[in-house]
Amino acid sequence: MLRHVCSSAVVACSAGLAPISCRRVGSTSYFSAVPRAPPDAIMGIAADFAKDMCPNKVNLCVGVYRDEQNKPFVLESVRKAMSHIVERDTQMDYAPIAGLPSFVNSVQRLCFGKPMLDVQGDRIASAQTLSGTGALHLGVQLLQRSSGGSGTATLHIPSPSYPNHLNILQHVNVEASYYPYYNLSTHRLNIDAMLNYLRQLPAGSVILLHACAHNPTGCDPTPEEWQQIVDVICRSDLIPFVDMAYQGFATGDIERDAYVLRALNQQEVPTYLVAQSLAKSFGLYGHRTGALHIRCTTQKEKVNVLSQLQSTIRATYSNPPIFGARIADEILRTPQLRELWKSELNQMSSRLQDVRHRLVAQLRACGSTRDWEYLEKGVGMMSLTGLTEDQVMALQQKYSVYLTRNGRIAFSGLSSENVAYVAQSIHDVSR
Amino acid sequence: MSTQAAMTTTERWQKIQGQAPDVIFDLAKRAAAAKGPKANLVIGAYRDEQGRPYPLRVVRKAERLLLDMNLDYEYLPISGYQPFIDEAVKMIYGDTVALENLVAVQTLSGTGAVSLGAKLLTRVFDAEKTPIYLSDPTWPNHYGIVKAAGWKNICTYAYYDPKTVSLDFEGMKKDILAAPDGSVFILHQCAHNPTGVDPSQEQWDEIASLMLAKRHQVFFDSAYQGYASGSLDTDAYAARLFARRGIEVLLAQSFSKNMGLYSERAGTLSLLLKYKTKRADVKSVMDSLIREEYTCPPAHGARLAHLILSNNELRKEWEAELSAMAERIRTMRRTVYDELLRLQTPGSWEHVINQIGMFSFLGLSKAQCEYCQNHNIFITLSGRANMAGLTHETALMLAQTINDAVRNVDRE
Repeated sequence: MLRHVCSSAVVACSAGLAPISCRRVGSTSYFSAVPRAPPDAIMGIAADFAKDMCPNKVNLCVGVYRDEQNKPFVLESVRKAMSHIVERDTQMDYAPIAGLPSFVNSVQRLCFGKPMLDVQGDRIASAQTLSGTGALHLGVQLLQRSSGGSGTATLHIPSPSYPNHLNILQHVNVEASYYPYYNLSTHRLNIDAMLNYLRQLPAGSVILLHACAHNPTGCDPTPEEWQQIVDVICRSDLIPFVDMAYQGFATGDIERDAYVLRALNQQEVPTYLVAQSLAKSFGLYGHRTGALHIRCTTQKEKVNVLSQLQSTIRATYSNPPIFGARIADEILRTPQLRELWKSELNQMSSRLQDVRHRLVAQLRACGSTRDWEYLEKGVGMMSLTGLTEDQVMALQQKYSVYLTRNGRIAFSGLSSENVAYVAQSIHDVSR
Repeated sequence: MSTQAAMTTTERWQKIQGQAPDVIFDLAKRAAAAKGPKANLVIGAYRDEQGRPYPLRVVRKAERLLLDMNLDYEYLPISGYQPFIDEAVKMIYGDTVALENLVAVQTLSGTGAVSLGAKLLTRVFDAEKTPIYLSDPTWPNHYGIVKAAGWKNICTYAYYDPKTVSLDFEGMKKDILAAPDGSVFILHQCAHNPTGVDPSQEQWDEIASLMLAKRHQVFFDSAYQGYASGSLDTDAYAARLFARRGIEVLLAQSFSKNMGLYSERAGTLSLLLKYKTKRADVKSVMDSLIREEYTCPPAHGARLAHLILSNNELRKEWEAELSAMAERIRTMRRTVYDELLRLQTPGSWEHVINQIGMFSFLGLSKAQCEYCQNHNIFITLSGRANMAGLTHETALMLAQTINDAVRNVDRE
């Protein structure tokens, strides 16, 4: 390339140039003007919790699974897969830009199912990503790029949604527009308002859907409601962007948790995106394992889309970390490990459903007359309790029970040891 | 709220154009598919004397130790695994700097660090107008990274002299002086990619003086510490010198090559601040950039690297293994050079043994490089060869093919 011609005069320079004085009279640091970035709210609460000296303190903010003893839980299938990998003495050479090919194949199959792949596998562009956040980020960048670059793309996201969705959009100059989803008064899906909103969107609008275990509400559409949603997607020619962070973890049933994808396929929706995370369902949180899939209309399109994904990845981190991908691939490809993994999914999902049930039962035992059914019937790790910000603050200050400010509760922090205490605390602040 | 122009679903991806294939990856594929005796010298990855991928013994050992530790798989903090970060920056700076003036985060290896550093600098400099200077030539991904980070005014500074196959130091100094005050300069700390040409210690001293005089922001890419000469301290000379001279060094560090952790993506980005009071502010910006992109970095590579760096026995084994890798590369360079002399190959070939690290710029023309590719010696068209991929047999083969190329193909 041609060297850029600088506007300043070229300083003459000769061999044996004397060293220039290095005194920096009046110089200042370039970083003096950097302002403090806003603190992350959830990390802030975690810091408060760590400093709390109360022996009964309970952290219900953390979005990670805990076992009945409130300890981190490494799946046995993961430990076994890791042993297999280490014993095989595998190399650590670079993965391809789009990830470990066998891993990508395995998670494609987990995501879409074999029947769909047999027919349409040649038009799905898939890349391994840095867990679900990396997939969302990459997908949104692709949307931004495919909207012509000059215009501002818009992504329609449910109200409320995972807060990092907004961070991701702002980072890549994509606007967020909220569609009605959860009714804060009735604590149920506002399906009519949602459908009406989707119906009036222009063709080609992109809508973000949580596949299951909606974060932060735990409120999911029923199969009948999903069918209505997919009908509108078809009739209005919309593009779904499915965030699937909890497949198998939500209900213990891999196929049931991917219901919306099966419905999109059955209805032959021509194009959609899936951001897939293995953080929760495999317990691979810190190994950053995920994938982005784009269902294209032709194989040629898929090749072009995949090349765009690879170009973006190359300029950001070159190629993805391989360890978590190897573990997941080993589990998905080894029948015994896969069966063990499925039983562990059931174990995690059942425990969460059980603590939901126990919390509601304890609330009734405390004498609470409020209708807490939505907590019991919610899906996955999270629900919105419906508590006000003042009530949440009271829980924290009086009882050392920590929820996020919006009243979101992470059920994984509950156990048989603390559920009665938490129920009593919630009852006290809400009556 | 802007309204997105209506676009039917079948039209969504029609306007997406295919991206040009990555030429290096494509060449690597071609090399992998080639039949018969061949030398695959494309991708910068270390190979053993039989040409096989070489997971370091110490990494294998550390991995088994990690397995036995029964660690959980929880999320790391946004900025990464702090014990790893601490050991990593200590490896670069030794006791040259006060650690409280350093702010550092774990990154997705070196590429992730350069990317994050380039984005961080857009918060401090006007990325539309401020020139960011890359060496001519440089690792091609530097262009993609800084462009993707938002830099518009991408320039080059003279570095490699094709006539002498060495550093164009006078040209480099001239460009540093000609650049507007307060430009950004990406410098390779050692084992320059793709040329293998490094400044001497005296030359680094002069470069540091010029950077100070011009108030340029220095951004080191440190992908080969310990791997270039076999000594971690020797290879960290430039960064430590600049730090001692009071320069606010931004540094991207990779453990892909020196620990063979290629696919575990272990790296750091560190910034040496003049005022330690700004540490928390700068860190908060780094954290917000990371959270938006991937929430937090992968744990495995960082844990492996930390264990090796912090455990006395593993550390000694690692440094010995690193030294052996560097020595093997030097031996390969010597073998190629000796064979070129034996064949009485026209031209001067001292640069093959004078260059440092994994890569050599062989000094061949594009047509001569094509000749090599067509004879199963896979080097890039710029003449870059991964010397770490050579075996004794392929070193002889490389020398023979270079000899044939310069005798049979016109230089330009």
